[in-house]
Amino acid sequence: MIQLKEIGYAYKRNHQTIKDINLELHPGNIYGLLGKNGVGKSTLLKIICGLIEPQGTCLVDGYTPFDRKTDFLEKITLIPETPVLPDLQINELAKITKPFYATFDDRILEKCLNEFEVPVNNRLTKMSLGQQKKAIISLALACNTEILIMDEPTNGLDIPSKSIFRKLIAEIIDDNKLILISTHQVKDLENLISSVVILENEGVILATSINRIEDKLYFGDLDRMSDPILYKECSIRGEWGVSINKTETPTNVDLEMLFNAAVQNKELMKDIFKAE
Amino acid sequence: MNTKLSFQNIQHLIRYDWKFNQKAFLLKFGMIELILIAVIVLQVGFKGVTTLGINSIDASWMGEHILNNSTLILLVMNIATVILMTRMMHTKINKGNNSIPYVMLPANNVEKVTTIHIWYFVGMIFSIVIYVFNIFFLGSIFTLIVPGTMESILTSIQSFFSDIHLIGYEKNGGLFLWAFLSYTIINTLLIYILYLNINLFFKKNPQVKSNIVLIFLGFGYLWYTTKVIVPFKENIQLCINRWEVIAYPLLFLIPVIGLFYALYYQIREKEIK
Repeated sequence: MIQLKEIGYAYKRNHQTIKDINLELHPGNIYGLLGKNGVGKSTLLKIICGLIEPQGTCLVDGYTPFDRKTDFLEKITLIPETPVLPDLQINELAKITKPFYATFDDRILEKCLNEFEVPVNNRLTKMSLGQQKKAIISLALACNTEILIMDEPTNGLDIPSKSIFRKLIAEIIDDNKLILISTHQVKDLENLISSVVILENEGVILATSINRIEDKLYFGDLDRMSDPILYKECSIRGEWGVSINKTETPTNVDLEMLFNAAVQNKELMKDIFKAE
Repeated sequence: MNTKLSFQNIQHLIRYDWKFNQKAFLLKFGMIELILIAVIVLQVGFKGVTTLGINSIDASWMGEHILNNSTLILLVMNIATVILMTRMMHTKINKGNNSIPYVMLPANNVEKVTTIHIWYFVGMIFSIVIYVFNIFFLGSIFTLIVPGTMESILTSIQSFFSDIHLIGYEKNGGLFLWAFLSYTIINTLLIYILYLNINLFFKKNPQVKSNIVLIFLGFGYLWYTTKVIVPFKENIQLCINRWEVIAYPLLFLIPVIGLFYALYYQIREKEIK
């Protein structure tokens, strides 16, 4: 479990990048971390991975990440937005990475590389960005750690690869694993994530499960909405939006509209999703 | 301080490091070596032709110059090793996102520092191997031009060791070699420790500022060794007493411990922003 209490971090002395983050993330879930540019999504991921030392309390499975203890590092894998790759083939990189992870699974690596159609005989530095991303996602999944953190994993992936990515993530998740995905491309996460965390400069404005969002909010045709309307937009289908769900029927969550609704109605959103 | 050490982890880290850096390591050392050989060839050739004239160059003159130049090259290689190893280390712990894979590897800070240490010594040994290689390679090449150069070099090396006086002992070249090498290594390590501590001192953008400091230290070191070691070696009548034989290995431990300490704090406190 990941526990963040009053987390803050400043890259510059008088400019707080993130502040007052309170959050609890539980195993068995795939979390989507959404937020505008510069609200500190990557910074938050770095704090959880122990790459930077925050103010406040951050505990990951009982460990303080910045201590970077071996037992902690064995539990966590990070896929950074721009991975650093050596001039090696993916299987060579896997061979030198494998001894560090007791949970490493060669079968997962092989399966992922096959599904993504990664050219295994090419050196990583000679691959395109998309191929590099697919190779490094395969390696991270093969590490099979309890916590998997991904920063913009679908950047550079083509459309079929995004579907394969969703399929592989859905296959790998179990009750002991926690996956946290930060992205701008919310459409890539639809039908994949089980919970959403929306980050703003003031802190977390929404952190809840997709099921709860489906119960509480209505996504769809403006004609069938009841006040207050939290967000609306014109599309080729007509006017669509988000409102409070006053019916018993849940609707499919549109992450893009949810994000816009949350950003435009911060306080109202907090009220709607207040712990019951 | 988490001191639990796993030698298996260190072994894995060494393998990981080597695979990650082998190309850069071999390319950079290869380039340095080629430049140095070219410098020796040009210097010895140019000096011989201009000062003595082609017909007057003899094997003993050639051998002596190759030996002297190679000794200077050893010092340059030591400094190059320091710079290269430092840069390799910084790729791991100081270069923003580049260091993420290394920092995130499941091994503790002591194991990571020990691995960097081992690489540093590998570099030192490599530079000494190159020194010996240079002597024999250049000796063989110049033998083709001036016959007898290689024999002259071997004679010089032999007389160098046989002229060493160890006070209270019979002539002992082996002990001198140990003292000379540890002396060179101590000096290089001291520079390295200074560099690391200065690096820690400059929290903001340590890479640039401490590299400038390193360059100054490197020049200082070169000046020092040229002024002290080379004339020292040319006089050859070097005396080593028993105290020095014990003191050198002991002195050797101080920078090793200091280096370890400085590196440990460097890697522990480092934030990958």
